[in-house]
Amino acid sequence: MTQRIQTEPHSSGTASTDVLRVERITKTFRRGLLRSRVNRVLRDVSFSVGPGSMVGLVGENGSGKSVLMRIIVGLMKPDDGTVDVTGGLGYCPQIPMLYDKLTCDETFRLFGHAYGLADDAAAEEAARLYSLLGFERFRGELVENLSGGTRQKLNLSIALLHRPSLLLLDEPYSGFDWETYQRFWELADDLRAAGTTILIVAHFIQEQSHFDRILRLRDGELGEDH
Amino acid sequence: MSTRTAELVRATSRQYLREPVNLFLLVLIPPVFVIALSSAIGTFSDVIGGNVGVRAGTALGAVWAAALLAGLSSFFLLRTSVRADGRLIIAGMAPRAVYAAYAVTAGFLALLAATVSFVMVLLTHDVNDPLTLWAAVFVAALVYEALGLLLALFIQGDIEGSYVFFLAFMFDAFVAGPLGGGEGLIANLFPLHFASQIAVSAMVGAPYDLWWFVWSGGYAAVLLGVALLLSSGRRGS
Amino acid sequence: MTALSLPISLLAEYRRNLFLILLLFIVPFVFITVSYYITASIPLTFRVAQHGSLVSVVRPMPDVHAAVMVPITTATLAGLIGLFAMVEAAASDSRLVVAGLPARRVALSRLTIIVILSVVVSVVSVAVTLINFRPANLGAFLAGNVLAAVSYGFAGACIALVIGRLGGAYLMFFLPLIDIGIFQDPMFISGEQAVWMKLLPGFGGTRLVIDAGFGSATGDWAALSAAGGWALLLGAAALLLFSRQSKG
Repeated sequence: MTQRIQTEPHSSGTASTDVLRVERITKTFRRGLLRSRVNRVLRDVSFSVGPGSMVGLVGENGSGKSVLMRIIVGLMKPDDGTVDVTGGLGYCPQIPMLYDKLTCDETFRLFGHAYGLADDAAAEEAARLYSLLGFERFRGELVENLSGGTRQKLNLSIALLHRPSLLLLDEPYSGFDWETYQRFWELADDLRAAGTTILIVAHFIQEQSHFDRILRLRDGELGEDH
Repeated sequence: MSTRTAELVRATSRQYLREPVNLFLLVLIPPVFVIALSSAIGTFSDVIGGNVGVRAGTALGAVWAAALLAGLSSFFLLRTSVRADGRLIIAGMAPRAVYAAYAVTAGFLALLAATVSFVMVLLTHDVNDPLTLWAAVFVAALVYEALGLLLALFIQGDIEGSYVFFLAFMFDAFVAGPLGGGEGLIANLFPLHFASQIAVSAMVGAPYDLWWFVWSGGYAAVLLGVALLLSSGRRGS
Repeated sequence: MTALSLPISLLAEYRRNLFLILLLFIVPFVFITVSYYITASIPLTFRVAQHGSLVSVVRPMPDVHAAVMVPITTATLAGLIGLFAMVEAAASDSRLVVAGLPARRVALSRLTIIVILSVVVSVVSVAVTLINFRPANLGAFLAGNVLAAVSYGFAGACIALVIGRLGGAYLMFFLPLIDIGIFQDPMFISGEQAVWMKLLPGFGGTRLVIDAGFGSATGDWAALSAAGGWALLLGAAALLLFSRQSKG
């Protein structure tokens, strides 16, 4: 069975403007000595998202949210199906994947290079993100010495550094204090208003009011909440 | 080297240097090992059928210390930041550039380990042809560095990687090298075979074949090339 | 929860790792067998304890090499297990501590795993040796190897907590090689050992192995207490370091 979810109302509605198109993704894990224990994590998952929308991806633990996320960003290969992303992609993993022995400034600079930004452009963006999320005073601090919340701010900032057209956030606010949590949602709303498409893995009901659409994974199959 | 790779070389070197104890051990272990071994190796080689005197044994000690330290460095440099590297690749850094950066950084460490080991031999014994000895020790370190880079592509675990290194090293040291008197085609195929032969020859003033250098350098280059080639299919963690 | 349930659940990581299990058999097999066959068959004179007193014996070199390769192998393999078990513990077990388990209990579980795997490595290595060489006193031979392995396993654990992964790997390759492979090895040191050599962690275990292999090992109390003392000391140090680190 295929679930195909149409592009949401306030996008232009044609497939060509989709920022993200996921088609018939299937992923199965095999375990055990003879690889006989089969766990079908994703079954024929399809959906597409247009520009300037905020989409929540929900589901119970182990429902395949993170696997789907990892397939979309390219960290994992699907068994079958395709992912199309138009424009730049920013990814904020649930556990910060950062270099422990680099400072925040050095981290920005290195990822700036990866994104293809010039050093001064990366520094400018970094300055904006420091003040937006309020962690400028830690700019010279090694990542391993940062508190969990500050590390998460850096983690999120790396995903935003190149102003991507598609943002994939895997529970990006874990470890934030209340004020930062509020600021995160303001930031997300601003980004959406500026045309960024945001796909967020979320857990809590009260967050669901922010979303234009909510995709729900259940037993590896995708459905949509209305 | 592209500016991206250069930036990453800076980052990986910082990762290494900001744990100063690693650097300290990298320069401390070769002297200790070389001295300990040279105090005891002469009789040992007679025991296991090679024909290596104390001076030659000391040269071998330098080869092993430099090679092992270089190999462990490259393997663990890559293993330690595999997740962050994966994210860097998602952000647009070519996997091959990431690998190349690690190869350069680990190359510096190989050079350092080789030089410290060599200097220790020079300080404690007469060396017939110092420059050749240094080059042989360095090329041995490069071979193991490349081996570490390649292993890191296939082996996910720290213990497993270390055990495979231990196995390779024991063959190189005891079977395929001058210590075990290893000869013949199979002995030739072991990573350190010719580098060890050159080191011993340079130490005692025996003749060596320039082809042995070409072979050892080629060994390192091929391993490195295969690692770079295979790394392009890498998807991070 | 019984005292062993935590170590058993932590041990699952190792049990499910087929490649590691294979290596735990292949590495000792290759090392010990190869050492035996490459060694020239000439007699070696060295000293062993025979019924409580040191006597000179003459034995075939391949036997001596096969015997001494066992503690070198087990100490190195166990040392690396101890190192990476504690690197892992320092990174992830702090969550267990935060979740309410006492730090000492978590650390004890890791040390239990190190002991279990040290015994496994020793049994495999001794079994491999038996293909070519029959020790005079098999029980004491195994005990000496287990003690050498456990000491280095615990040393690896301490080094993980003080030095970390890469520097720890450097050390765990060279320490057993220098200690057991050179200074305790009768092929290198065939006469009386210097006092400082007897103070190294590998002394007691290797002494037991040599004595049990070629002498009698009965009344080898000095060696046994040196080996046991090092194991206890390093185990206590690892416990202390882990508890201190998870509190800080």
